[in-house]
Amino acid sequence: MHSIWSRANTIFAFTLSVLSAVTFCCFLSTIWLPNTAPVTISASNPRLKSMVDYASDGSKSDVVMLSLNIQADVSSVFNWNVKQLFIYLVAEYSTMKNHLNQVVLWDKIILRNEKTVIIEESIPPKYYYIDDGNNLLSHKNVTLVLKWNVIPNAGYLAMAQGEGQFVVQMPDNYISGRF
Amino acid sequence: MDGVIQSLPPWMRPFSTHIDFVGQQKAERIFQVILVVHGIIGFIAGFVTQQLSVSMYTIGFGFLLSCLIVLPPWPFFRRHPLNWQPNQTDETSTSQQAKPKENKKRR
Repeated sequence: MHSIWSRANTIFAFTLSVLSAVTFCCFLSTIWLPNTAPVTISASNPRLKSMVDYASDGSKSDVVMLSLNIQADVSSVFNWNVKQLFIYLVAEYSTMKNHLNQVVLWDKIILRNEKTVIIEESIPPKYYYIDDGNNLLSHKNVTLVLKWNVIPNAGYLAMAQGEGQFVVQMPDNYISGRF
Repeated sequence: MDGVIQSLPPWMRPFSTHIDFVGQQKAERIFQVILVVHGIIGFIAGFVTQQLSVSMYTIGFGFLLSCLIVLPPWPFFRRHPLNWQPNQTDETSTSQQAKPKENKKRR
């Protein structure tokens, strides 16, 4: 503290300590806040094809095309410790081959201070819905759920699920030709 | 810094940056209080406005305020200079004194 450099060094180091303490208190002030929200999901007109899955072992797999409707308002999830939300729609089902399959059909990133209302009507899936095998024919219990990652400014990555789901029933036969 | 100052031209040399020990104590207390108070205010303001940037700007302002008050060697940091003994001449052996006891209030 005898010279200007010594005082500047001390002040800067103490400022960094105060910054880290305030950031930690910011994290503590938000860990118990609820991060779910109600969502409305529906899907219609599922069509099945059997195609060769070139990304996998080259055998034929089931491919689904359907029409999705997603409505959600996630504004209640945002607080001063949330940087952005990574929202994704998952099709969950179990087959004889795998106990749990989860296929991401659609996703979106919403930053803080962006529009937080999601209205998607009659959209096709953003990513191909390809099954691991041929077990989707006549599957009556494919559940669509909307989940999100809460990406914080300080702290750990939290995962939450929207309240609301939809069950899709797959058709009993394949279609030929284009989707 | 004082070594750098000795190599400057003479009209610039009075700008030394030392402060005495009591002044150092005062300086340390001043910036600690300023920064902690701004940290608390920043947390409350950020929580109320739900924006972390408000907290960061408040702490940054506290940092600049502390720098302004503590970094330059203001006169109120030099109110208690050390009371050095006058220069002794070397010829009288009995008057060899030990160095005066410094108030070792280093950080």
